[in-house]
Amino acid sequence: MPPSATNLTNDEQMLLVNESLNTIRQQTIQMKKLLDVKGKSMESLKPASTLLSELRTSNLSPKNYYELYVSIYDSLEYLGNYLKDNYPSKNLSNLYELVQYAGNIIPRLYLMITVGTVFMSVPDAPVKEIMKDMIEMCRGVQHPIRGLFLRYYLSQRTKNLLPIFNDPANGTLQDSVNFIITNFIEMNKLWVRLQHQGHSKERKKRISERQELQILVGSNLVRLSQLEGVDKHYYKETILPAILEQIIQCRDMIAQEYLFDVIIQVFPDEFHLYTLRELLDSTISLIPQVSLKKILITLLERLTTYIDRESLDGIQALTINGKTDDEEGVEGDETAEKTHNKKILEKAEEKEATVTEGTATEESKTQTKDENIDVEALFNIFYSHFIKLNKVRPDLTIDDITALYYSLSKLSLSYYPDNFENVDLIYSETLNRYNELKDTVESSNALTEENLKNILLLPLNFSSLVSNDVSKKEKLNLKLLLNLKNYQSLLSAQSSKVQVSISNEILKTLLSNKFKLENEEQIEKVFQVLDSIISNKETITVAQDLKVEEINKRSENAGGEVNEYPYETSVKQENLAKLFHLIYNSNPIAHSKLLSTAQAFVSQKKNKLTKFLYPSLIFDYLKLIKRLHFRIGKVSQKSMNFSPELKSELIASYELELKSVFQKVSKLADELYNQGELELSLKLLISISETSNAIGNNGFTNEFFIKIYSIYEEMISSKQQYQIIMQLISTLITFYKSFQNGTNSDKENYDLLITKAVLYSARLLKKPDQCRAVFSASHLWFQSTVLASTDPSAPSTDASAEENDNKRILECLQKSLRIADSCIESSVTVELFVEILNECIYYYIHSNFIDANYINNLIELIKTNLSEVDDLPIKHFKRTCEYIARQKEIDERFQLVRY
Amino acid sequence: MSLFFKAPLDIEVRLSGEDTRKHVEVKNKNGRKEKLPLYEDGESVKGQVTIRVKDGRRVEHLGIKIQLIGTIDTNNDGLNFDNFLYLVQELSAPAELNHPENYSFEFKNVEKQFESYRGTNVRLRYYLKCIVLRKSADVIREKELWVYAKQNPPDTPTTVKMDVGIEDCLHIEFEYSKSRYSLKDVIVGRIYFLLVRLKIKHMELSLIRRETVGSGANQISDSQTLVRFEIMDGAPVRGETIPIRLFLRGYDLTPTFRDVNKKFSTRTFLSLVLIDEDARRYFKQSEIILYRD
Repeated sequence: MPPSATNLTNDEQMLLVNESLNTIRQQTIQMKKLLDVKGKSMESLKPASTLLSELRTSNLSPKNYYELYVSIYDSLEYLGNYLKDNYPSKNLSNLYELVQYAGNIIPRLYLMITVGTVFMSVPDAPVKEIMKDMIEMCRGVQHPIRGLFLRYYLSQRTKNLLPIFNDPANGTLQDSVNFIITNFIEMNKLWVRLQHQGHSKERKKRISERQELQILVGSNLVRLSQLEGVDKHYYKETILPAILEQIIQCRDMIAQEYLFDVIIQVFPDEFHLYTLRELLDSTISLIPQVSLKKILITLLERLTTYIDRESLDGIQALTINGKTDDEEGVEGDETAEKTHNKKILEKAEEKEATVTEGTATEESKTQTKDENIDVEALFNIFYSHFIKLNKVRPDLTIDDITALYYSLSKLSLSYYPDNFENVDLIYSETLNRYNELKDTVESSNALTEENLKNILLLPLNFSSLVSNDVSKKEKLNLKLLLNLKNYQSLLSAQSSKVQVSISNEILKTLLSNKFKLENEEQIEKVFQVLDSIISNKETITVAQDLKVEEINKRSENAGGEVNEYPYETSVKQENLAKLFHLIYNSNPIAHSKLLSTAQAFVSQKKNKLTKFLYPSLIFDYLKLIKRLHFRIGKVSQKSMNFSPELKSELIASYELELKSVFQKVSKLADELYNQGELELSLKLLISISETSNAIGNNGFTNEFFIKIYSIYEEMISSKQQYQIIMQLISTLITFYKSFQNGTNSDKENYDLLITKAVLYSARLLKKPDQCRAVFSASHLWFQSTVLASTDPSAPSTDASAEENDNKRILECLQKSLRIADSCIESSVTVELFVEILNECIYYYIHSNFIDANYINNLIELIKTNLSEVDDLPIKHFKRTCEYIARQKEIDERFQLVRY
Repeated sequence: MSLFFKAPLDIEVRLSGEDTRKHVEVKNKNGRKEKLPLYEDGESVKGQVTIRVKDGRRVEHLGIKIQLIGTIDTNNDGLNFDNFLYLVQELSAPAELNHPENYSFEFKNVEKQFESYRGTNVRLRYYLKCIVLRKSADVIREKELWVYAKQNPPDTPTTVKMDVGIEDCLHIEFEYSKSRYSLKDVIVGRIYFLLVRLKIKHMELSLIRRETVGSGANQISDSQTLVRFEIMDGAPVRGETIPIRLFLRGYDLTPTFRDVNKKFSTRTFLSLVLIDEDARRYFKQSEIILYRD
């Protein structure tokens, strides 16, 4: 029969379990009955022993065995309580002997422990000897599972009975500690032994069995941590060395990993801080299969959260912010001390001297805090340990190393939020290690990548680590970023994929926090960090990915326009473009400089991204122009506090800046133009001209428009041309006012511009486009009339000029009619006619240079052609007629119109 | 005999202070338990014999006497009796009885050098025998006593250490606190496992009483396991120490007798038994001296 459970299936085991449970139940009833009969209470030991024999089975898995254990525990507890209440305590020692006659060791020891613990609980019992005896006799059970449960029973039963006072007669704390540690050592041995018994093919099963049993072993450590009266010195001197020795000696992976974890979890943080060196040193002696990463990270995380938990408890010894609020009395002192501590943290060099002082005051107040020396050195301890690890454990893989460094940096940031040197150190070390291990398999696996990403994203996540204070969030993360000298080098060591994802992450955060970039340093850092997306590393990789996709999609896309950038990429570019909007400085001139700095970063790259970035940059410049303009206005208006010289100086500098910004903007547009982005460049120029118009600089406007025309002439696609012409016309219309208010040369320029526009309209390729452009252009001459009617203060144009304009309008209309007529398809012709009719009606309503006859003729013309056309123009015509009918009701002039 | 002729007399032997005397429970041949009054070496045996006449008849006798006999019964070579103690007292000269009569007796400071014993092939017993002599059949009444012979510890205690094993398979060392134990004692010891290549399932300790009767060609021995006591469950590994503790008080053990009246001996062996997973047993026996104090 194999020593560990069993080849039985779980169902078979369940049958056994149920049988055993039945027996246990019956024997328990029997036992209780006998206990109630006077004078026969001793006979109750017999059923007790019988029910305990059920625990002798070898056929159950740990889980099923546990079921029996639980049931039996209850029975024995009943027995124990009965004995405690009813049995004369002076006879307990006899009873303790009596139960040892049981022939089988399992029932014997369970009974012994039951009676022994009852005995321990009575006054004046030889507690120490009983403890010693029980723990010694338990050695008789060498079967792993049975032994573990037996010793667990011992541990459970003695839980509240172990002496914690130093009473040499009845046992001391030392005895209790030895007791638990001995039990722990023996249990661990049994537990480890389980691994080495039975067939090697059942290894997996045994591992899972062991995991089911681990909590039994760990419970001893929990018990140790619950012992009252253990202070950290005692822990360091006595408890920890004993535990560690056993853990190291057992040379078993599961045990070492699990037990370290338990140590870290169950003992108080103060203990860990106090024994950190010992704990770390011992990890070196663990067997190589143990994941140091797991252990160390658990420890790091425990200590990291410690600082948070501490601050929740209100014992803030090391606070994140050294604010000296005006608190009173004791609290005031405390804050002062906080500041003091913080200073210590910052002054890394002069530590030694000040620390002792700081600790002294601390100690006097909260005794739990006297481990400050360790807190100070915490980072260094870990760091030097990691360095040591590199030497003694060359087998550590880069994914483990990076994970460790990530945790360490979190710890550092929690404890020393203002100490960036630590983190920087980690960055440089990480980089070193990464370079050393670059060629290993692990260096490119997902884990490593993930860890490195985490490390690099620290500046983003760290604020949430340290404090929940939202207001502080923004400042911290950039400050950290700015202070990490090695950030950039570590970042650029990564694969472009990683770089891009980090950059994107940072970018997203910056945007979502509406973080303001206020000085050049910040801009430089940010743009450096985002270098990977700016220099378009992603599109390279994306393009590679795309190739594959394209092959798949070729059939679908064959005819369609192939988009250069996939949708997702352009979203990312959009984010990047948004970045410019974050740049802000209250001083417009400084702001302009910042924008130039940013621009420099983008321009260097000279890649296609500019197409996405420049527009946004240009609009930022334009916004800046408006601000400058506004400033100028403000300064010149209410400038009582400025001396006139200063005032003019200011204005001059603003004007100068304004000019240079315009130059920059136009240069940007030129660059786009040079890159072949004609349409984009043209449209941007339109926006620029609008801005220059808005601030009343006709000269600039004119020039920009000339540029626009010159670009326009190079454009080939008629579709684009038509739309641009329309846009130009509408833009020009809005410029009318400022040009008319300007100098004579401005007016002339304007005339030139609009004439040119009409000329372009007439030169469009397609007839309908021509026609529509021309009649739209007619409005260019209609401005004076409109202004006169809407704005009485508008400059009165002389009648001749107006007549001249009206003539021009009529010419345009005539021309468009001709063009429409020359169209071959009658439907198109009629549609265009109807559209012209609408224009005429508009003019008819707003002025009187068109008479009703003109309209009637046009209507007649349409009607004659109506028979040969399809629905669309007919409907349009009908609607127009309906409109005329309605107009008749409100405008008697329309009575003259017939249809 | 008494089946055919009902004895006309009733004899009752009463020991003085019998109610308060300590009794010992012993199993008789039929396996039933009986209680016998306990005496020690050198203790006087006294009491009273009451003789009643049945049915108011008158009975003549040739005298009444009481004997105290110590005897060893063996059956190794046919049934054999050997009295090592024989004391007798006259209670009455020949007379006629017609009413109940009491007679006191006393054997002063009787030397009882051996302890009572009931074994498989031998028993050693003490009894009082009251005889009413008659012309026809005598009327006899017996009453058994139990004797504990206390001894001084035979020698000074020494620890017993032994080193046993099977080559390349098992090597253990065991240690008992001493080689002789009083019957109320505790055997304490430990077992060190120096090499374990067997798949041990459990280990037990047993106490075996060996009774030897006679000598030479007629000698017969009989062994009986009195105690079985599991001391280890499961397989130990190298370096383990298993504690031994066995209370003797609760068991029915016999002190070590050597050549009691050149008739028989009883010895006790402590046996350590290892049982492996294939139910093979490996054992090592060593004698322990038991004595009564």
